[in-house]
Amino acid sequence: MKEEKIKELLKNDLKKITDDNFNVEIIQQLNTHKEEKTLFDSKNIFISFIAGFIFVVFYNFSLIKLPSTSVIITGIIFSISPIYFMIFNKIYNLSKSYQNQTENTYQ
Amino acid sequence: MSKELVTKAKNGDVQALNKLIDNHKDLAFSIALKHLKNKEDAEDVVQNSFIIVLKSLKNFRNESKFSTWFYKIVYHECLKELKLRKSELDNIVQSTKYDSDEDGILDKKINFKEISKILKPNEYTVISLFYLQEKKISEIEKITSLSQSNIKVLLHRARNKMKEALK
Repeated sequence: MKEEKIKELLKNDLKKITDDNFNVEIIQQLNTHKEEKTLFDSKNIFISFIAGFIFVVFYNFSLIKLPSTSVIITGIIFSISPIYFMIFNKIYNLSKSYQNQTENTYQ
Repeated sequence: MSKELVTKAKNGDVQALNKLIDNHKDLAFSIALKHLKNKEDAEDVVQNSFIIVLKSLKNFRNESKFSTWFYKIVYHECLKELKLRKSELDNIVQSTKYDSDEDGILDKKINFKEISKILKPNEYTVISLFYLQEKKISEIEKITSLSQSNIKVLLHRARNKMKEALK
């Protein structure tokens, strides 16, 4: 039997998906699984943290001599600065998802 | 052509995504149906496989063909579904029933439309990938994780069954 014949028979025997919305459902699922956009990604957070740290160090050593408590406070503020960015990201994501929800309800 | 489609789909082109799905959905569904013997389950498996593949399309490097990657996922999702159903015993019963039906079909000289019914799931998977997707044995090996010699045996058996049926 010729190879072409087998190919033709198999082609004619393919089963069709009857669901008309098959493609649409996949694409919709893909859209809902899209990565969450972030305002500050980890790279940005790290860069701003380092920049802030360098700024504080230079400021402390060059301009004025700060009391030790204020140095500790500024140190703490900068070391927990990534948390601020994470909070900003959360707020940004929430506002985005709310926006998407309202868009979907009006579509 | 396929590479172009994949690149467009990577960039979120909905038309390209649709075309990519259309190009593969029928064969994927036929393979899944052959394994799972249930239309709804087969559709779900194909849909899930598309979602898995298209979600990680950004990480896809064109080293292997998109279709090889996709059919590998379809095939393994079918096996996963079969495991989930814990229907190994049922399958043995079904396949023995199938074998006896098969003889009946062969006696009656089967219709072209029934050609796939005489093939077992793995035989159908291998022969359809070989002829319809023009996959090489090595690519089928990647998809099914079966050995090359095993694939050749399945292919040979499937060809013979088709020849017999058409005599």
